[in-house]
Amino acid sequence: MATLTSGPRQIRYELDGPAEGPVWVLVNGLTQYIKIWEPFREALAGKGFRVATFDLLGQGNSDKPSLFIEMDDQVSVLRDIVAELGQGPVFLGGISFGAVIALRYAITHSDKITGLAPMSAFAELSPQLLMLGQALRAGLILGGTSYLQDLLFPMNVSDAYITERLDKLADAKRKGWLVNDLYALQNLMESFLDFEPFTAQLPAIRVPTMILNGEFDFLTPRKLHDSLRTHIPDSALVIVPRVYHAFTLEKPALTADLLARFAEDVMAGRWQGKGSVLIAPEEPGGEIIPFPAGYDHLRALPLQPKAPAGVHASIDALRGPL
Amino acid sequence: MPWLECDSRRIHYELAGPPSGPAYVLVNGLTQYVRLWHPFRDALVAKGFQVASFDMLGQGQSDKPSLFIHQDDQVAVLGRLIDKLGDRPIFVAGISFGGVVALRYAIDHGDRIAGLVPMSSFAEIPAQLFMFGSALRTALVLGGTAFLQDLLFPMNFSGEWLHSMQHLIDLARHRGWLANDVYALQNLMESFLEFEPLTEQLPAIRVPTMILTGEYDFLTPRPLQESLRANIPDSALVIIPRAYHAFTLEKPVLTAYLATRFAEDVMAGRWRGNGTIWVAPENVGGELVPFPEGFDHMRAIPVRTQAPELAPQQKATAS
Repeated sequence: MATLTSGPRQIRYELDGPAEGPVWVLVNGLTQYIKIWEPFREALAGKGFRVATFDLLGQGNSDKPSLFIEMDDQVSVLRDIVAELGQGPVFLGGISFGAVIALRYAITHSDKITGLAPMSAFAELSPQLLMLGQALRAGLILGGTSYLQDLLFPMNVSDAYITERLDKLADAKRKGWLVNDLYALQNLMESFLDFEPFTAQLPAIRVPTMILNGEFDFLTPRKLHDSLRTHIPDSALVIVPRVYHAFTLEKPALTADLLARFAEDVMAGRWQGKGSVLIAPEEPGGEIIPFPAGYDHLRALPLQPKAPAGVHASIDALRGPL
Repeated sequence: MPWLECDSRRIHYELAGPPSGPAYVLVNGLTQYVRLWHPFRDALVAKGFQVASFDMLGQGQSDKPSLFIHQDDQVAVLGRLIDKLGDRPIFVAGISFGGVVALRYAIDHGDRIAGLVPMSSFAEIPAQLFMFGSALRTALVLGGTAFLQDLLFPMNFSGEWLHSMQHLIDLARHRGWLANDVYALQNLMESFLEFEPLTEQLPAIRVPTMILTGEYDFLTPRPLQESLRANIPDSALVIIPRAYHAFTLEKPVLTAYLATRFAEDVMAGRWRGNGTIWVAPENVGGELVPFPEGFDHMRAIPVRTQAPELAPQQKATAS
């Protein structure tokens, strides 16, 4: 594990995988820390990538200023990390909170990276996300890290995932308390609630961009990802089946595979974003398919925007119960 | 203002519409009170229904025992109100928490009612919902009614609604504090966290049942609605487009329209549940359409249901 100096502050980071390989830089979500990316390090290093992970200001082993962290400070930390990585191809991925930092970096530093993968991301706060964010902050103040985690678990992962790990939740929570400082976390959240939308700046992102969004993510729902898709020129939206907001935790092998394939496509000159909407496979190595033509990708129902002529008559004939 | 005596407790209820003919009984969600049904009630009354609504024990103007409310007590109150309405077609509709009370009543007293409408309801509490429920209870304990509401608003409504109602949200909060007692509310929640699954008893519900769920409801998501559909014999599942958990508040007139059509179909002998799945119209007067055939109704993307696996020799023949 290494340390770098960003302004007056110390940032803990880790580099794994072949030193000469193309790099993936992964940016943490709110309550995360370096170790959480372990399955990604293994999977991506196995495919020849170098992987850079780090604790944001306030997280894990990095400095924890207890007041006045700004989002800009985190973007500067990311800039300093990327500067450590040499001249080869650099791909940048981030989840949730970390995706916002990655997006903001890409807006001003497109020339420094080869590709971008925002996951569970947003460039503006919907009324729902703003209210949930404020309630989560109040949750942290009223009940500490433990209660914030209690709120985040059922929002972040699927029922099946929780059910399988009921006996491990206490341990996961304890680790979270260890690495998260209450005030630093509060400041991290604070830096997001002063959020200025940056949708209008997204067209400045000039690199290939794969936007990943969980099928059942309600914290950062599809509409927010669609806004990224429509504003980032060379982007595609890939919906990850059956998962919620924190799919990097729930499906690390699948997500790492998607990242590796994206980077390989970009480096081979095969990537064509074209604002397309795609559906990821359920397992690593599976086929990425186009979202079914003629269906509205913003809906949670298989609905066609306009019913073709003649359908109404047959529906009337089908009318039974109601 | 009419009152029911239920054991030693006083229950506040409201009746509107013609005192004969069919009736609808509406059962509140957790932080609700009679007044919140008014737009829904008025739409049903306009269609000739008498509408009964009431504050549960602990809610609004009903007695607020500060300890040891049981779900059974709420079911008993609902029973008392239904008895008061006499011998006529009675439909029961309940939202969320109130949907569970309605389901429990229908399991034991299906003969007393003509039809059932569970809305954003559930018969079991899987791990995710249990964690939400526990976290919401903790919210109430830590931050009072105000913090509970701050969490419930973004979980219950669409972004569009929250945006357009911004000016009313403070008023709604204020009214919620007025009508809700912290300890009574805590007890209401407590009575749910000791939840025994009802799934196995659902086949005892013998009345026509229309299960309503919001397209984007993540608090009581589609797998929970599917369990009701699969276990209640004469049921149909109707998905309300663009709706979240609290669609009786966000889309009261549309929901009342669906409830009216259901009751009219049942009374005319036209209702056939058959475990069918429908998509509700977006507007009053629109048609219900069958859920697109061949697609998986549990998914939030258009996914084809799996064709049955062919045996190897069939595969060979097919190719």
